[in-house]
Amino acid sequence: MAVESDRVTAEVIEVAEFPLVARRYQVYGVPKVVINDRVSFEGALPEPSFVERVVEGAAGRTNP
Amino acid sequence: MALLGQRERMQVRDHLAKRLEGSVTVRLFTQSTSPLGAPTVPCETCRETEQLLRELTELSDRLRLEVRDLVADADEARRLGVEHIPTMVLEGRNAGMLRYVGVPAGYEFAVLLEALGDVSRGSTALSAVTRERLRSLPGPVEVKVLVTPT
Repeated sequence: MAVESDRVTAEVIEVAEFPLVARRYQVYGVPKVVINDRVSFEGALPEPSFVERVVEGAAGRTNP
Repeated sequence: MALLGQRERMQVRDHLAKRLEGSVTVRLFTQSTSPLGAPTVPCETCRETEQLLRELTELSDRLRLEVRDLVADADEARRLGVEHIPTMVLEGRNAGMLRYVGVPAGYEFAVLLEALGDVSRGSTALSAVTRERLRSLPGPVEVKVLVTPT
């Protein structure tokens, strides 16, 4: 997604090395995806649903 | 001792030769050591990550490794959104920013190889609909993917 759009920043974090990050985002299952620190889900989603969540996260930042 | 075995090295070299189109810079933020060799910031996997990336980037002329120090290059780190070490920032034909935090071991190494290919081409396997939606997002998004080693 970040390859395709200049509005997207993607960050993969190996949380076993960063327990504080795991605690902060309450990671119980992986992969856990967190969008703009407000929308999150665990596990894999089909591409259209994933994009929906990204759009939701983007809207939240401009319109909190 | 090398982290990548001879066989892996050959497979990765082959993969990179097929998948990389343009050049990619891997900018690794890590820690420097004091003259006494003591780390300035604790980091258990920094040394291993740097070695792995050195071995990896030697396998293709299209890959370049640049090593930065989180403390000495703090301005650059802030600009790139780097908060932890080790963090690598992938720079090629990508439109947005891509960071990888931690050591890319096991399955994650394969994920990194895929990402290098996408970044070198500036394109992905995402559908046209998805690409259009991503380009017309109402604002910036940061997508964090939290993973554990496998």
